Amino acid sequence: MHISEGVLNAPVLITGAALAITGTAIGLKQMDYDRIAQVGVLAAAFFVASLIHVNVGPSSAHLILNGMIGLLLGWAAFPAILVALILQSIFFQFGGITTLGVNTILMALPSVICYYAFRNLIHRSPVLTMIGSFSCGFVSVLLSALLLGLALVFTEKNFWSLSGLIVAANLPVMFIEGIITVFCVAFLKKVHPEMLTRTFHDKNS
Amino acid sequence: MIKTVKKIKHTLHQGFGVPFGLSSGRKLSRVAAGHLPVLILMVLLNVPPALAHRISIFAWVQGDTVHTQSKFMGGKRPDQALVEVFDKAGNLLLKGKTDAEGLFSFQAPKISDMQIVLTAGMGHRAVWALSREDFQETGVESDHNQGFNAVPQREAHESNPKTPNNHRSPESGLSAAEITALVEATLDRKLKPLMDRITALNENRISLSDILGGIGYIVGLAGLAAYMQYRRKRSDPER
Repeated sequence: MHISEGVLNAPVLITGAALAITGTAIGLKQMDYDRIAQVGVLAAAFFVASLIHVNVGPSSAHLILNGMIGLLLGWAAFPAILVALILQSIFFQFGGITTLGVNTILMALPSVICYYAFRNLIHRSPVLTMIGSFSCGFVSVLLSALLLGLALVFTEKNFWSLSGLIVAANLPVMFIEGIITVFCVAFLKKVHPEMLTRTFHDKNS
Repeated sequence: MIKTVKKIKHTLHQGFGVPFGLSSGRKLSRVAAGHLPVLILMVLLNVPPALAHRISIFAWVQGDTVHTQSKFMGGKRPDQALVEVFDKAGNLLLKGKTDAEGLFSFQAPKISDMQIVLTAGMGHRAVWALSREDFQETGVESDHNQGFNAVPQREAHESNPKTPNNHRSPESGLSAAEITALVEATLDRKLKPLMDRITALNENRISLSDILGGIGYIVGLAGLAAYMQYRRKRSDPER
């Protein structure tokens, strides 16, 4: 899911960087600093998750976990993912420094969207919780794949065939992340429900 | 396998134990418990720690042929990926596609510094730079490009007969040029496994120290942020 150095042209890179800075600024502002450790742990989880490859289907794709990160962190997913991406580009040569902004948007924006879309659903009946958490994991990767198609469309053209390819390559990852999210949410609800209910945004509740 | 998983779990415990020691206790250790199943699942899903995603291309020269090998990290080979060769000035010299093994070979159109660019789609791209010296090492004359395709022995035949090149070895009856050609062919064959090894080494696997280093940085940053927060709270208790 990381875009390598030298693939995109300057306008896409600059737009991505600008959006990533905005998102990170919002994230840093909204973050509850008493729960900074949670942000750190999830950033570390993201950092490591990209090393886990799902070699099913035509291409090999890796876990992203951005659905779970979004659900737990909200806007704070932006700084968490940005930091993890910087370290991935330094240590693993995934992506690159110039594409950092675009890659951040690619993975953090779906996190935030899924946070708003599914945060209420996971407190309903058990069945709805399951559907909500599965969709959260599934949709976040789907959105990332579509954003990747969108970023590449300026250089590779033909959005639909390209996006189809990317989505197909990441389909196994979507299912796996959906299942992971179901398990995590179920586990957290049992063991530490405040983590899901008390969001990062209402600091005083 | 189970042993490895246990070991990794252990590492994760240790790795993530640190941030919870950093700031106040119980809530955070419960946070850890919350994330542990994710991490364990992640570890379990990843049967071998074989990694992919990053792509690399590696090129080497044999005679006047340039061989390239492309690989995703973890060994998957890109099939039908585009390989483009640029000269120093950035002009496209030629392009081609990798085969199912990720290999692509071409006759070098001229000897110069080259940039070999692999584009594997979905934002994957890798570059390998080949310099003039890489060609010279293989013994091909590099100063005149037009004679480049000529095999060394022909050049030797055409050269001045007074040079010691055409002295025949009394025992074998082979000319120096023929011997050169034979040696080159043998060397190519003998060096092939070595080149393959170098190709494999070039793959740059991700090491555990990289992973732990990255996690360490994140832990450090989180600790730093927690510390700043702590100081701000102390200096401004009303908040």
